[in-house]
Amino acid sequence: MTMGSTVAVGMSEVKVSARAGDTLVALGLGSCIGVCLYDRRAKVAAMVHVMLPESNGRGQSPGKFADTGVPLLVETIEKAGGSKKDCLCAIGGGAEVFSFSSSTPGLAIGKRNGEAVKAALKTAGLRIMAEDLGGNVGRTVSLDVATGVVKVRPVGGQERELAKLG
Amino acid sequence: MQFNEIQLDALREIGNIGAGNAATALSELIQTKVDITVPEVRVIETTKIPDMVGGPEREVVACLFGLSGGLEGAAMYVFPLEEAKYLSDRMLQQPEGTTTEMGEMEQSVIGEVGNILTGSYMTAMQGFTGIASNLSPPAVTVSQAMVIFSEASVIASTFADWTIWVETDFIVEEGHLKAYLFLLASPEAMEQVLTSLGVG
Repeated sequence: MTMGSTVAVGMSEVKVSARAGDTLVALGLGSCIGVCLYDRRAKVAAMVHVMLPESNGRGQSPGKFADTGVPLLVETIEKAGGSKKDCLCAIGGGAEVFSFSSSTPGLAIGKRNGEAVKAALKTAGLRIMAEDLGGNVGRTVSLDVATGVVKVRPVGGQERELAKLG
Repeated sequence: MQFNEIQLDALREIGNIGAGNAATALSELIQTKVDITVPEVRVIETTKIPDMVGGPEREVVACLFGLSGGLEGAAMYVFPLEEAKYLSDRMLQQPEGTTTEMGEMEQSVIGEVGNILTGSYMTAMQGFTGIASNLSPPAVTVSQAMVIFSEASVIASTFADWTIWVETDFIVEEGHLKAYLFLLASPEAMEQVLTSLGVG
């Protein structure tokens, strides 16, 4: 039996694992979004931690943006032995942690991230099984490699199962 | 954007003077002698912000300000939760330990303190560069450090890939009170600052 480990998915990172026992985790998502992708046949899991909606041609860090992060996520899971047609996904994040006045920058990034991720997933032909978006508290999103179970834990709250992608 | 040593020194000096101003302002606010140690000033990539405060699950109170006028961007002032509660008690002139929850009133008080302290740094910036900026009213929130700092990183990354970070250690009544300022300015704004410092 091999011991699994927690694989942290930092901001603008994409992580993939086919090791049963591993859990991919995006800690403390605020307006960021954790996009979870799981191939139920190959049992490969991947997650991208998206920060902003559109890359506007900035190509250096594709994982940072919804429109480039989702294609990168698909590419990554396919390189690791997954196949897009067998993949399901779930998404969590997109909160508005600060309540903004109209003069404050960063207005509604969480909401825009949510919309951009959904649009990118639609373009990629991926089906969203479950989502936990919006609100005003941060959350931690995890994806279990063996089972495809996606869990969400809001700051100061209880962890709950969002979806079972496997 | 990269900074050379001379430019970093100039930015550190603004941080030093700003921290001095902030200590004076804090002292007046809470009617107590406030000293500071030399603040730590660093320029860091925005994606590294969440690593900057020990303990990702530690609760903090953050005040976010929009910057307009001279410098376009945002500034964020962050207190660890215990420090914020202490300041809230001092500001509301109630015995230490009275504030147990950061309610609307307490958050508003901390927003005011954050406003004055952030203003102290902006005054230092103006003194050195002649660039005056306006602060928007604060948006205050209480959350885990990792959430706040990833938000700072997100906000910054809408217009910059790095931030100027100032960690100030105020010494109040022989205790230490840590606070953190993040200046999130656009590359254009920073070039303007460096040019007016004569190190652009």
